[in-house]
Amino acid sequence: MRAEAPAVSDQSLAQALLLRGDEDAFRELYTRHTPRLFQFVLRIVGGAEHDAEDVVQETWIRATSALATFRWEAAFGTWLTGIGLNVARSLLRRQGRWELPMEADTPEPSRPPAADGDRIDIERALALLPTGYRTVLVLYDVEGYTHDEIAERLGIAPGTSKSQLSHARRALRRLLEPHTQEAHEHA
Amino acid sequence: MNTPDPHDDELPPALRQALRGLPRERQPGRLLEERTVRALRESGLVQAAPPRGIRRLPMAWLGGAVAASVALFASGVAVGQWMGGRTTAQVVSAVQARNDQQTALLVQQTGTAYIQALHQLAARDSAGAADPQGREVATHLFRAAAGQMVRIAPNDAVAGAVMASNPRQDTAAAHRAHQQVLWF
Repeated sequence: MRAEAPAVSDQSLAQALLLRGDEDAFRELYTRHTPRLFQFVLRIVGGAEHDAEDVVQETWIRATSALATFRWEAAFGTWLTGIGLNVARSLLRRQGRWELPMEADTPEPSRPPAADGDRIDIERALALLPTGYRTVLVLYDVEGYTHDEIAERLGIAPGTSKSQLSHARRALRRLLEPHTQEAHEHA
Repeated sequence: MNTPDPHDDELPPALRQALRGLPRERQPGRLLEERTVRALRESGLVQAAPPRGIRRLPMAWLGGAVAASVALFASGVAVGQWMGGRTTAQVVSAVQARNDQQTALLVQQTGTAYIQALHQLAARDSAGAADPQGREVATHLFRAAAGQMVRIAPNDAVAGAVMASNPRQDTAAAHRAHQQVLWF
């Protein structure tokens, strides 16, 4: 089923917001793009909803301030997500949680007891990953960015993105392995 | 977007698919929008919109609403005046009707008392004990009543006959009686 195009384009709304400070236009943009932005940011900050909401608010303030500089060569949502990623990184850095690239000898996260059965869900496993690993894995495996795009956004080399992804995947698989298999491996 | 690379073999297909299938949208808390709008207003990036419900009304709708309000007001005034007029007329009519009833009741009560007094006067007259003064008063009042009856019903034969009978003598007798009677 095809999604219908909105009656008013993001660019028209952004123009009304930029020229007149149109609150209705802002609310429309907010309604369209915030659910996507919030989910993305929530994964980056490791599932802390309060932090994610702070990041979303700051993202909208920065985006609205910088609206005049946006050249509409990319989708508005993509541009917004990029700002959201930077704001989230700033928050994690202030909290002392931002590490990228992670050192090769970074200890892998310990597996928490499973709430039900012998598996933990993917969201919980993602939240347990070290911040740097999690960010690269979310951008690549969930959001579909390329290593070049990730490198550009995070200010790292593409090779670093690849190696971080490799570590992140290994850590994720360990977290998601059933207890029984883990027990066999230890035996 | 990315293409398969050498690291892909590190992720089982099911896990890779599960990661791609994770939800992409999630609603934040309901207050976040208002919080964000308030922050944007404070920084001057957004102008406060007029209260909802008014700002989105088109001019034609507003004009229609004003016209409807005026029509409603005018019809209300007209209905109010009609109701007020009708009420006043009803009150006046009711008061008038009440006055008529009270007058008729008064005539009946005093008339009955007058007849009863005449009855007693006649009884005393038969016994030879009647005071001539009583007779004169009775005659005077009878003529006075006949005079009012002529005003009410000019063609009434009884009243006309009473008034036509020896008015001067009756009037003089009544005048004397009036001077001697203590009215109460």
